[in-house]
Amino acid sequence: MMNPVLRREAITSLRGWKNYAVLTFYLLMMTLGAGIFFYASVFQSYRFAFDPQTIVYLYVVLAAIQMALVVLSVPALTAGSISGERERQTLDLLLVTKLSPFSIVIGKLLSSMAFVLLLIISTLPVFSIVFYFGSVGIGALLGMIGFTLTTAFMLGGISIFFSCIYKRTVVSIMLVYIITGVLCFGTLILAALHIFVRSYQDPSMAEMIVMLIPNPGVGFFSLVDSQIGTNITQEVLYNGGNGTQSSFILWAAKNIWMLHMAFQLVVGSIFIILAAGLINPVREHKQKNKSTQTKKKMKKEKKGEE
Amino acid sequence: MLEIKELVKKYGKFTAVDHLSISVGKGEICGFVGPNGAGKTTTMRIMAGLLNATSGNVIIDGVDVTKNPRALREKIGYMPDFFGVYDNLKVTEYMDFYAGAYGIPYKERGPIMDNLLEIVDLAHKKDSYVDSLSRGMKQRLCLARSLVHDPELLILDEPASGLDPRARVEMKEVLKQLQEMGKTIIISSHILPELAEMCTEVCIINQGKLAAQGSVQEIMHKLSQKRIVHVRPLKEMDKMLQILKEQPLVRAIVENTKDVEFDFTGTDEQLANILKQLVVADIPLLSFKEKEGNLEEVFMQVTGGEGV
Repeated sequence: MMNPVLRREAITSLRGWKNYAVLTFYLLMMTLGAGIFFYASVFQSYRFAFDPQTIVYLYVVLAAIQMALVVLSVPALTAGSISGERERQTLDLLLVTKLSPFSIVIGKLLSSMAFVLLLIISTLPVFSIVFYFGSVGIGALLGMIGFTLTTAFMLGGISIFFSCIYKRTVVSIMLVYIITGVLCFGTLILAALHIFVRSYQDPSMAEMIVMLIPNPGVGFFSLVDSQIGTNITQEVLYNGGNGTQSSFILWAAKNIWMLHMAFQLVVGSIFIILAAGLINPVREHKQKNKSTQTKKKMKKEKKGEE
Repeated sequence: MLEIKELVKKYGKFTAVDHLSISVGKGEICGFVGPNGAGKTTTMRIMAGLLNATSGNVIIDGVDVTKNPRALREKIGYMPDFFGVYDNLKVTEYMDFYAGAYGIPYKERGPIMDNLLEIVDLAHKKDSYVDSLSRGMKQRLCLARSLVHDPELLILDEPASGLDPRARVEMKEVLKQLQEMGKTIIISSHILPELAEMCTEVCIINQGKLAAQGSVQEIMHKLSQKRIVHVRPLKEMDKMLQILKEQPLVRAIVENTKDVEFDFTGTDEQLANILKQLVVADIPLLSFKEKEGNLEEVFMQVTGGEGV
């Protein structure tokens, strides 16, 4: 049976104008990106003509715009999911049903993920320009969609978590953006500092990879990099790291995007579980019961020792 | 059906519910009455599994809500005092959503929804958007929602609040119907006199404590400082007054043109004895009845005069 929250969200969101506005804006941005790319390619060309060999960069531009739009839109779509229910005074009505807090949170997350999927599917005609000229396969596009969805999953999970804590949606959105900023720039600064501090002692490539795994920008760049065969990420990490490396480290340096996707799934899941715990009205009691049970056990053990 | 034992709920130093113990039998309608901040909503939220109790137990059909709230979701229908509705959702979709949330299979939902909308008199509004309904209609829709899984116990927190007199009457009609269906109902309200006639039992709560529990009549008898008796003889008014004045338990006799009212401080047996004396004295009586006391007065007395 379909998650009732997802079903209801699908009905209500598609009846409103907001999602259509987001969809229109999204498509406009993608089309504009493609247009600017063609315009720039023609004017940069020596012969004032479009060079089909540069089409691979259109794929990169479109993927980057898509990624940026998803990063911006997912918090806006999900950060009000639980606080909105509280504001409307409908959360209690949901919590007294047989739905578990986890399925309520999952329903909310899936509804925003479904909308992100709709956004991605709606941009396929724009991506089809790339396929018209060739150079990037369907597998690469599916990989990109998968990466975008895991990003949406992580950001959605964090947004719902904050939505459970803060009453104001804007606060939740801002916090998610701050976290995204820290992941994007904070990890880069950390890695740069690490290289700077340990420059005389050959910084380890494994440490660099660990520091950069949480970075969505590095993950995205690594994916595009491996798809178009430039392998810049690998070279940068080879140069940054010291001499001999294990085969796993070499694989990780090449496929840092895979590790980032795994990181996103883990972080997203943790935040979803935490969010479910936050809206569970009886969580304190469970904890209380557990602590009472633990105390009882301890007492029994003490008695046994005596 | 419902047993609350020594229930306590504290918010820091403030005690919202203070060692409350209540028992409600199956099929009964229990009116939960008290002034603002008495702890009615807190108690109801604990019953519905939306709030943890500091201590004590709420046992519904043999299962403790404070220990296993999720197990009782099927048995309880809860209607909060304040609630909202979703935008862009039709009445049938709203009902379908909650039916799904209670795990009712898709095929079974249609007849259940039709029946419930019929009960709350919203069948003609099934294709309307919920946010376009009037407040009274929304209240009735919320009541239908709380019945979607056919619960045994209904917890209704101020279901008639904010409704105009007509909507209140309509809500009362629906509740009467539910009473006939054999549902156990816990209903909180500020409008005790309106509820009194349909409640089999009333619990008056004040400052988190149970001030009085019992049937409306029992509470009236227990808490009324005086009983007013109205007597109307066909004739022999003077003879009747003479007998009444001789009674030590009769006070403040008010003589009207055709009838008499007096305050009585004795028991039912002693009152029956006065009636017997009047009959033996051959006074033709048209009526001899105890006047119904003012429930609101009793409520004010119990709650120490705090606003209704």
